[in-house]
Amino acid sequence: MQRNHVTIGLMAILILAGSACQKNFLNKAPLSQYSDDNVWGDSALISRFVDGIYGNIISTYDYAGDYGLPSSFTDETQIDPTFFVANQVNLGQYTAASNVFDAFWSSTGTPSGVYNNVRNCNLFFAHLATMPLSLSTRQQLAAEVHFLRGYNYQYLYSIFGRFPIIDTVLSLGNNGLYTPRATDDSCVAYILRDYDSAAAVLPVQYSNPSDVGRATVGAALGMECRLLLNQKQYTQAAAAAQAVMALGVYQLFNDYAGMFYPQNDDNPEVIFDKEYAGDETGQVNNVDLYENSSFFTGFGATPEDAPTQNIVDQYLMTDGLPWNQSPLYDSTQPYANRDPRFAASILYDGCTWMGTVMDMQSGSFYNPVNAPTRTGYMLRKFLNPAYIFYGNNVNYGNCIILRLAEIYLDYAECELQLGNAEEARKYVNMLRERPSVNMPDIPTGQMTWDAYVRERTVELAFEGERWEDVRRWGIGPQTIGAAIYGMSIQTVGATRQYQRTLVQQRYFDPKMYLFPIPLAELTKYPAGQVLEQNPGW
Amino acid sequence: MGFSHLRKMLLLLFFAAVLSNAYNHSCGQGTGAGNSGKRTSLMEALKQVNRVFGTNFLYDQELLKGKTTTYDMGNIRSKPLQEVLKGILYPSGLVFLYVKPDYYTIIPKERVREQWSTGAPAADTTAIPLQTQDDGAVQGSRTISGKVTDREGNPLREVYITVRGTRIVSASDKDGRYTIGVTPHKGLVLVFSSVGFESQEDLVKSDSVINVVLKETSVSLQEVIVVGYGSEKKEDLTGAISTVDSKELNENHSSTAVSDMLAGRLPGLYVQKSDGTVGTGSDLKIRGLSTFNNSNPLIVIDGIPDRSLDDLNPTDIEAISVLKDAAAIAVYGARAANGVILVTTKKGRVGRPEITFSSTLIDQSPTFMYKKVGSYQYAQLQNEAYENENSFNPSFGQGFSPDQLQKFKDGSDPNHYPNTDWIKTLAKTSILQSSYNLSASGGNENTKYFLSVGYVKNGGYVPVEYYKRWNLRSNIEANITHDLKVNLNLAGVFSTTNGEGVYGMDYVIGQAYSTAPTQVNQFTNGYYAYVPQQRGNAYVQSRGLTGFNTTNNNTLNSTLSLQYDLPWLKGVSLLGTAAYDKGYSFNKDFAKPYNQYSIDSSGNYTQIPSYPTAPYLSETFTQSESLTMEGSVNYAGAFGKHHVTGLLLYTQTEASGDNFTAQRANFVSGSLPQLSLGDPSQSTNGGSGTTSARQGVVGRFTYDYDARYLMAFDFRDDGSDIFPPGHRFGFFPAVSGGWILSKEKFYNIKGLDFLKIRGSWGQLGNDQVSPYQFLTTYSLVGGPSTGGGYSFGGPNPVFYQSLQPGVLANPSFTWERAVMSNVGIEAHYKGDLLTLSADYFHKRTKDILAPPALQVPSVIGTSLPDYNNGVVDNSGFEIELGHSNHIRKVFYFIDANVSFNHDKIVTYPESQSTPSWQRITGTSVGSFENYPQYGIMQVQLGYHAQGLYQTAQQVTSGPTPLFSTVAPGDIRYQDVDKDGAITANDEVVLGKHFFPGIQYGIRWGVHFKGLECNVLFQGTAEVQGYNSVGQYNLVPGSTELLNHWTPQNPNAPYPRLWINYQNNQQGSDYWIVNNAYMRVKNIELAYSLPKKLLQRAGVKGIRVSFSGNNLITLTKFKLYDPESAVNTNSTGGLGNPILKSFTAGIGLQF
Repeated sequence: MQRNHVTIGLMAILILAGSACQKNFLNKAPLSQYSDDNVWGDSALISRFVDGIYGNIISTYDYAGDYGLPSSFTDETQIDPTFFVANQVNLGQYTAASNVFDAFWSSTGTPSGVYNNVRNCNLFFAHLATMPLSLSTRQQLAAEVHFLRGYNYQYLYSIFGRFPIIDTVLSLGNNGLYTPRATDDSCVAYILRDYDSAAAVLPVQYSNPSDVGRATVGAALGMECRLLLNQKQYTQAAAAAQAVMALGVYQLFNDYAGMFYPQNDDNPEVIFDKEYAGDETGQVNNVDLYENSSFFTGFGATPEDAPTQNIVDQYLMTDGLPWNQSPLYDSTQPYANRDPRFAASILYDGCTWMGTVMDMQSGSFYNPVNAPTRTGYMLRKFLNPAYIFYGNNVNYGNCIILRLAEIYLDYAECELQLGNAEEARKYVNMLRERPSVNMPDIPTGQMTWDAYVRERTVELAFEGERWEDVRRWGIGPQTIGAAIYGMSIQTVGATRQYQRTLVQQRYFDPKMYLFPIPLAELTKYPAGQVLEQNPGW
Repeated sequence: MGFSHLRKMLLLLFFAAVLSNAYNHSCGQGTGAGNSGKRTSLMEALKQVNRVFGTNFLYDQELLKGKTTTYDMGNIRSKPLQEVLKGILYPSGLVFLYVKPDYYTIIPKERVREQWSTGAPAADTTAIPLQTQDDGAVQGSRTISGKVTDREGNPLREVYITVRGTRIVSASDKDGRYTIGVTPHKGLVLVFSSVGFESQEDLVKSDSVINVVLKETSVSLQEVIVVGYGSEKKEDLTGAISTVDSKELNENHSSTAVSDMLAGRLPGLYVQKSDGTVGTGSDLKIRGLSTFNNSNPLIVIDGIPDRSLDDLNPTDIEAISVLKDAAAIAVYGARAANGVILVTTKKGRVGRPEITFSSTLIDQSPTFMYKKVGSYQYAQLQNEAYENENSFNPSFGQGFSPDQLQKFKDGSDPNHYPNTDWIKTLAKTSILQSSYNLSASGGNENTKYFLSVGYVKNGGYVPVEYYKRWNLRSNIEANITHDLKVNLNLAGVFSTTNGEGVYGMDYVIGQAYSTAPTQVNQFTNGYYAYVPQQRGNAYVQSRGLTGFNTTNNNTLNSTLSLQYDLPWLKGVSLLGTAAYDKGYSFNKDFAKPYNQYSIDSSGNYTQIPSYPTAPYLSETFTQSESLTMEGSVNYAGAFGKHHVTGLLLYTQTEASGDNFTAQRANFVSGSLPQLSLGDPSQSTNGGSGTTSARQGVVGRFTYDYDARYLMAFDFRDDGSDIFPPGHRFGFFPAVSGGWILSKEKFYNIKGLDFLKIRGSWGQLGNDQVSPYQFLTTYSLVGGPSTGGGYSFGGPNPVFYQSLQPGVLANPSFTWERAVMSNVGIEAHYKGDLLTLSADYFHKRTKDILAPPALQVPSVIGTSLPDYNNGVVDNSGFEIELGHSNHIRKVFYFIDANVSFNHDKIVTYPESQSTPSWQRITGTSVGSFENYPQYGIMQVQLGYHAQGLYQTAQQVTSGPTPLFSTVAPGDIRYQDVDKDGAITANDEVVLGKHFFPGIQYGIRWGVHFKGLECNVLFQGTAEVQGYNSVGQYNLVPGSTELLNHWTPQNPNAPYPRLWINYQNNQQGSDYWIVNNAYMRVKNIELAYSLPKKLLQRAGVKGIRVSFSGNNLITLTKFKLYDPESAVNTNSTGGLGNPILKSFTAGIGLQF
């Protein structure tokens, strides 16, 4: 009897121990990740990889939140002062170690830093030869990736200037890691080469509606135009602009405000944009959440980026004159008779927004003392008046990166610089003649540089182009370093009084035209090979 | 003090004098006792005895086979038990030995002595040959009698009394009374000994009554300590181990988490609690930090690694051992480099069932209140700050006008100009915690059980937060046959944590701290205000009106083991263990809108939409399981004075987990939180899975000669799936030795009756890094919880998940390896009168896994994998001093322990172009922003502050400041690189000791009869904190701000006020504070009612206790609890506060 127990016991122990000794016990693999072999041997996965590169590009909307929109780095908007990055820049309170744009250099967050995106592009090219794709698909995808790499480098260039050109997949121990910053010419040439490769293959338009939003030949040429203009290569830039216009597929959208609404995504004016899908996918932008008054959102604090009086004053009166020269200006009704783009872009005292008349007096519901706008204005451009603050996935509009109006303006600037003011005037007037703008034409012979600057400032306000414009025009002290004004509104008796009030004296130093290469980045290089810092930092 | 430990661990067959008396009586009685002559089998007779007296017998059945008795079983009921047993057994040459109440074992008469000499551990008494008075060999001429009691005055039975140098033996009866005959002579000494108590010698003078109080045995040497894959007597240990037992653990009732109860009690164990969030415990580190990876120790519960310490019911714990040196932890080699915490739960004991019920009620409140100014002062401070920056502008919310100031001051318009003390408004002043525990234990020689159920509920600092937990445990041991034992431990943990609906735990209290007093909470008409900074209203959130976020964690831990002692191979046993742990976690997050209002300047109210605008429900279900299988061969043998043990064990663990989440938004109503009630078109879901595996072979061989020279060799050959093929296995050996000098013949240090030195050396591994870094992987991302993915299609977007590459692959990396040496000394002076234990260790951790992120420029464009490329040295020592004694019936003890550690980063992968003052190499792991448990080694750089600028001349004449706005009253930084300007290059590595260099505990106690008082002081020293609250101006209106720099107050500790200016907000050592502290960690006052009183009521014991926790804290840092100012986390100590508490408890034993 006892023997039996023993046998059972022994067997149990042996089973326990024996079942254990399996070979390959440690050969585990991730349950939900693909390997190299999976990815590059599967056309569907390759396509998703390229989609990922699109998803990682940086757009204006991606700034909403901790950074503040790009407009708050310039004189276009004033940021809530508590903790945003833009605030440090406004007051010159940053150093090379202040992490101002570190994440744009390299980061695995969303959106990714430029070098992470560049690596993905290079990874794609490294596997291109062996991809199981038809020739046309391969060429198409390669062209899209060329565009995306060019776009990323252009973005980097706009912030930091010259950059190390990485065009292979780097591994540890590779000397390419310590590539120095290339010259301006090389950087620009490299970006143009990518765009050229893209433009040679990409279609003018996509016939399949579900491909709308992919890079096109127009996008490549348009980005070339922007880059060349910033390089002040006016002839080439003008040629690129003309090439875009010659494609014949773009036209100005006839609703200036509605151009940014989701229902008008990818309208005929849009050349390239970053696309958002909605809550269900998690692919959203936060512009509506951060820019609306807390009265609407019930969320967050102060509307993040408040348009300044400085930008308000750039909007002409409907007679085509500035406010301080026009007889139409009434200081008790300062917002009447303005360029319609004003009302389309800025929420002001007395305007109607989301069915409500906005009272911008301090202490009103929309401008409460505990979450005030910093200027007496709020941003209107980009916001969707039909937005539902939670739980509607069609509310996320795409972020327009490049549109035809910019090409017109770029072209106009080139022609002005090249001495062809009348050619420039033609394109500026095309913008003014849009039904939703309907501003008087600039008369013959009056296409001045100032009028152009004002037109560009107003047309592209808050869209993220101004930093480069300011740098190109060399007007940092007057704009980035400007005294920022807001409109203080009070009711005295029965009348409203509008008082221009100084909000902030900003700071500017010429070194600020370029942001410092992150200090932490520089110290990673071996002695003697350390990247050159931007001047003044 | 752990006296019970000894009693439990040794299954003793205690030979009481009762028996020896009985045995001798029997000779005369055996035939004389009249009987009916009817023969009964012995087995049957014993069964009858069992039925009548409830007595249990343990015996070898072979022994009773065929034996009969003629004893009259008819009327045993009327006779004393012992007489009956004598009558039954003695004629067959059998005797009975008392084991414990109601338990006797039966053995042949001739084995009595053998049993005696092996069974009783009180070494000095066992050597005396058994000789009773009745033998008449040395018949005394005088009688001494008396009573033996324990320190609480309870009578002790079966205390063995001998006359020193003779064979005279007697024993105490159940009332503790004894009588012994002696022949008086000079120096006559009586020795009182009993298992579980220290022997006591009393010099007999002329007295005829000697009453004796026995002290429980010194735990320290005889105690059997649970070590990795086995147990050892403390005296024989060659490794560095500290232990704490259940009694001491349960002196502290203040927390639901076991880790909180360990502070100050164990030398070498650093316990830090960074906040008081309900249901969370403390951060445990053994011997400091020695890697910049995860430095958390391995937790092993009932032999199985990676079970949760803080989920345990503290009253289920028998003992906790902290294994510190290589000798102690090499058997866990692979993951043991950070030390091991071994927890054993209670087991049943042979004896009558014992039922225990205990309950505590705890009242908690913060140790430190963060003090804030009122709204008037706050508004003034704001104005001054804006004025400092030339941006005072009340119309745009930048400061307050004189008119507004006046309204804050006079409180005339509370709807617009309130004075809200947010903490007072929504936090509880008294937080209740209650716990109930019921356990039953008992068993016989073949089956033992410990069963328990416990419930605890702890309220949060804000009402919506709470934590509650049910614990169930069943530990059963059974002997299937003489040679085969089975052990089944089952434990269930069912816990619930609840927080606020939209933002979860900790959010509300953070908002309460950071909201200015100038914000309204509730308007005079009763409406709650919308406070933008709080994304709603923190009061409403704190009351749970915004929904809830509940997590239910359900865990089952099961361990089945079989032990087979090979009958044909003496000393060899086989052990097989299977442990299966299963965890389910269910999170339900239901957020719903609520009413909140805004008031405009003319007094009109408007309802503001709340976030979310319609309810949403998100549910996440997670399950995980882990199966560990072990098989081992154990050997223990003795050859003369040579003792040998061996262990060879194979172990493997396979773990996996899955989760999925589902969400719907846009609920029609907020009344019912069920997924199906949400809008089906607003639904999302997701899920993922993980898996991992380990295997290893463990060996331990010990040898000792005469228990005097001790040697051990331990190893583990460990494999982990984290590493690439070919690099998966690591061999981790340890050797150790000990020498008990006091056992040497030449040893003659008077009083110092125990002296041992020991040493160890070994290698250990650590693999706490992300798995699969050797593979090139791509994740498919995109979805509501993860983000990512991309869409095309314009107004009708078509969404695509997208592929993102993972970390750069590293085809060859392997175990982090720590080389550890330890020397220790243990000494006892006059038993436990004075005890000393001291250890010095040195540990070098090599091949530390860290990504070379500071050497590789980010242009590589991807996350870098871990490489084996860092070295850290860590050394330190621990001293534990104990003293225990008694003055008459007052027993007292004092134990002090102090631990020192010092670590240094010998190499860190960083670039040579890094200025020397910014290098990590040469600094300490404890000087980093985030402790390694957060995964990333992030150096905390900051400027070296040199006080405040006092004059404009100082600003202009010194190095160019960081910013053009720097003015008197701002912090002045050192120009480290001497280039004439303060730049980012001047930053230095901040801090040396964010991790405490010294931690100590002093515990003392007094026991008198049933009264007990235990006090624990605990503290840290050589530790720095970082006052990020100061640096970031984060928390509006700390009273600290009042003492800021102005030209009139130039010596202020706080710089001139700022809002946007960055100079004072730079990381700098200006904000480093000394947050050393000492606190009265625990005081317990307890009273055990006299047992005599209770016996009639059928109650074995009643113990009432009152205790206090964290009652007094002495520190220089007063802003908030210094223990929570541990590092530069931006919230600093302003999460849920650390609490002090008062406890009332009662324990009943039946």
